[in-house]
Amino acid sequence: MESTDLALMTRIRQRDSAALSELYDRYSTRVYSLCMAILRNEHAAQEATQDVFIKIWTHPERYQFDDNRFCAWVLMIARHRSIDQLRRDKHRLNDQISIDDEHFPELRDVDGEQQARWRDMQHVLSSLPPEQRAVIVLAYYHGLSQSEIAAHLNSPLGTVKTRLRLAMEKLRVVVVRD
Amino acid sequence: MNTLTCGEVAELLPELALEALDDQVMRDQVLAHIDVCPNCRERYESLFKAVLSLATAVPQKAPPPLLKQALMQQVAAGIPALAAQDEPAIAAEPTWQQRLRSVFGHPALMLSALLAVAALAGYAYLASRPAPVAPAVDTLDRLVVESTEAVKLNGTPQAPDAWADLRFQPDNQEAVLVVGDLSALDADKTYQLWLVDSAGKRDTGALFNCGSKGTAKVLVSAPRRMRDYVRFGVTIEPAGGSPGPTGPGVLRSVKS
Repeated sequence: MESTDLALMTRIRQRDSAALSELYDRYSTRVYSLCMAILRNEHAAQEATQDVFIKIWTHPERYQFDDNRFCAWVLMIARHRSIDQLRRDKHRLNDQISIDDEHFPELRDVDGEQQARWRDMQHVLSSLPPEQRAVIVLAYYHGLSQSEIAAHLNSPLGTVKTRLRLAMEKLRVVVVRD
Repeated sequence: MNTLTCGEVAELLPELALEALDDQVMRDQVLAHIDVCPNCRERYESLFKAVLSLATAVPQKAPPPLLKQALMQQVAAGIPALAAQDEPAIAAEPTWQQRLRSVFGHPALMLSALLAVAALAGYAYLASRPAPVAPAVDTLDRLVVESTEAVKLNGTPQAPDAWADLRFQPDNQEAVLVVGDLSALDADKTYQLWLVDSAGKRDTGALFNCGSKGTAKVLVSAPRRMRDYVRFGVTIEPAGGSPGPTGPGVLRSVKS
């Protein structure tokens, strides 16, 4: 029988590297995919992915939630690690920020479990007005604050706040509906 | 004192969920509010889930198998549990915001510590120096973090399982070589990294040995900028190195 995430974390606390191996098999694709979406560089994404699992190994006590939150926890570590790296590469903030649709490509390589949610989210994202989608991409995938987004888009801060609020409300409705 | 109304908080929740709220004071006030207001907390949690959906709304791609191998080697090499010595213990019954903060507190500090541990775990000495001096761990970490290029080196038939990753910035003369699955050499021999330019001229990048786990993390010092080199290889040479390759090759760069 497959171990739960919580059971694997308990074993990791006991320094059982086989549990880390199992956890890696379970989540590495999702972690790596998110790192790739943020960093847009295979080498950097590999390094970030490795750091995420090293962090799990060295700080298992930080996981204080139940089984349902584990995936969210891991993905948030991955996002933070990737955004940290983006911020270290300051030049990217000016030169390489893209708000195109590469973050939301056509549906592919998604297993059945994720597919419905993914399709709904894709639909909502693709239906967002470009200016709302832009603030979501800049905030989530580039880790920019609202002030930074306003500066990057050369838009008033109030406008950015409004766009962000409207876009997030649409995404929230999808989640609540599910 | 928390003076925000539910209406004001509702306006700020999307920014909070996306971690795009600039004002730290305001952020703390919103967190304090949702900790005591079930309605706002419920709304925040749904926004939080929406944000997490963005994490999975990206094309899914598996990492290369080598990555897991490298991870498990690091673990086997003895990355210690840091046991929260760098942060206060988490309260037995953390509040919602305390939970979030506890998960992501001080990420830069954490990364730095982890890189330092990883560097120590895979460390190799530079045998080329008369009195080998270990490069500062933070130098290796900095080079890894700042690197923009990576070249893979594969094992030759002499060392078919060996692998290496050379990381650098093209305009720098320093780089980091991370090696795995390469046998430790006797004291009278050394591994020598060769940097080869387009004309075939070879420079020595580093002399090193591997630990008992077969891993090494080596500071590479090149006489020219890294962008001047087009091929890389590692051979086994007598201790102290050779002016040119004389021993068997164990690693060579992958042709692009």
